[in-house]
Amino acid sequence: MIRWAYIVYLLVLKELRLEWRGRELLTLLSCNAVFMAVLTGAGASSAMLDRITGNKIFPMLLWVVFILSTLSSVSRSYESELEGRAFEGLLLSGVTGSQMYLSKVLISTALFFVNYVLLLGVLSVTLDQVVWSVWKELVVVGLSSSSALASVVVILGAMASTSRLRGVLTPLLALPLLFPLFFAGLEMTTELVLRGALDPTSVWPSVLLAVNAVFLIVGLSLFDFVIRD
Amino acid sequence: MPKSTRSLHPLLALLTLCAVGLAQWLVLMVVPNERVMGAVQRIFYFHVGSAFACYASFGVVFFASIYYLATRNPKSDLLSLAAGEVGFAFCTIVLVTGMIWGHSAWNTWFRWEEPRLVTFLVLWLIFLSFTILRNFGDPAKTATHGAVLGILGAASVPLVVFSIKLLPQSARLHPEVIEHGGLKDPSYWWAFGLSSFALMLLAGLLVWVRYRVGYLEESWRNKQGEESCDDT
Repeated sequence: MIRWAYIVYLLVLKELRLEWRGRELLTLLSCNAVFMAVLTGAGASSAMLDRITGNKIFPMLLWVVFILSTLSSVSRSYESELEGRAFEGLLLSGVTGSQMYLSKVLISTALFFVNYVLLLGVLSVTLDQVVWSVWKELVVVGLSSSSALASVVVILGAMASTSRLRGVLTPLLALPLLFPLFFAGLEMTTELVLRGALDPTSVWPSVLLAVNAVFLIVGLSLFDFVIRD
Repeated sequence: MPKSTRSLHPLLALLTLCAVGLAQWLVLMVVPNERVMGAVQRIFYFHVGSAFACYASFGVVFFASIYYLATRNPKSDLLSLAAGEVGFAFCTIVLVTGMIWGHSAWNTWFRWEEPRLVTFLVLWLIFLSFTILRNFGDPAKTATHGAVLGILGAASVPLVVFSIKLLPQSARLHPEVIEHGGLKDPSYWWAFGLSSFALMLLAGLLVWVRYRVGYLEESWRNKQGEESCDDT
């Protein structure tokens, strides 16, 4: 088990180094997020939304922009593996599909979370919202949503990476599966932004947890099939 | 394909034709007009039966996908493809008939507050993404990728249904006919039962036909491959 986890750790380091060398995914994610957030802010301004209406639509815009900016950036995440035939090499050296999957999910979670925090900042500025009073709760929601998003996107990204529509296939495949995550994240953010706290009887944290668990288990079990073929 | 299973095809087609014909006669000629909704209520018989067929197709996709990944039997991949496409068609029928009903009964085509409408919209999107993958995915890996997506999609269905039920509902419009003891007249029950059965049979027949088309395409492709190998 320790050896298994150590290999995952090494793979995470490899992913981090690759990202650090090229900074492709982070640049794409953050640029997409900032552009979309600025466009949204400009749209809200031209619609002459007052601060209260802005407060009401802030969670929805945050979630739509977060999911769309993330999904439109992830098509590059498998380029280096495909160019260097890294999967074949790793499989030959005894690394399992589930180890590769977990390392990819961990690194993607970190990147998506950075994207979420960036968006939270930029959108709260462009829509003139103050969300700092609930930042800790929003960070928890963002982190758990990023991991659920990563669990889905990593496996679907691997499937899309070898197709002729690789640039657009991942969002098309992922969006229908992300509805439970979208609803859970949106409802929790709305409660936090509008009421200042999460309702203790809210079921949405459990939904988010279930989404994480289901997609992670399915991904861990099936990733091997996706890359071995 | 074995000869014994091939001979089932016309039998199933004949049975489906009889069941669909009888269901149409019951729904359009025998069942009286509903007191409040009038003739529009007859959409119910197509709508609910199509929903059953859609759920059943989802089940077939799920189990055929698992079986394919476990055994790599190309026939289960063909079955999953066939059930996915037929399920998508029936899901479209559910959505369209639901919207026609909604517009007549509630004066609106679609409401986000209505959990069943949203559930079927999301199911439709999942089937759509499955169809997109089967058509535009990497041809050498479509079978495996389709199976993985089939399992992922089926795994997300309970989450979709549960999360949509939790959404704030300002107006719950969808009628719960069976739950609230509706369908008082026995002819309603006969029409409902038979139309559901007929649509399930129709779905089965379409899956079977699509499966056979896929099988023949596959055989033809293999034969072409063998011939080109012989030529070289």
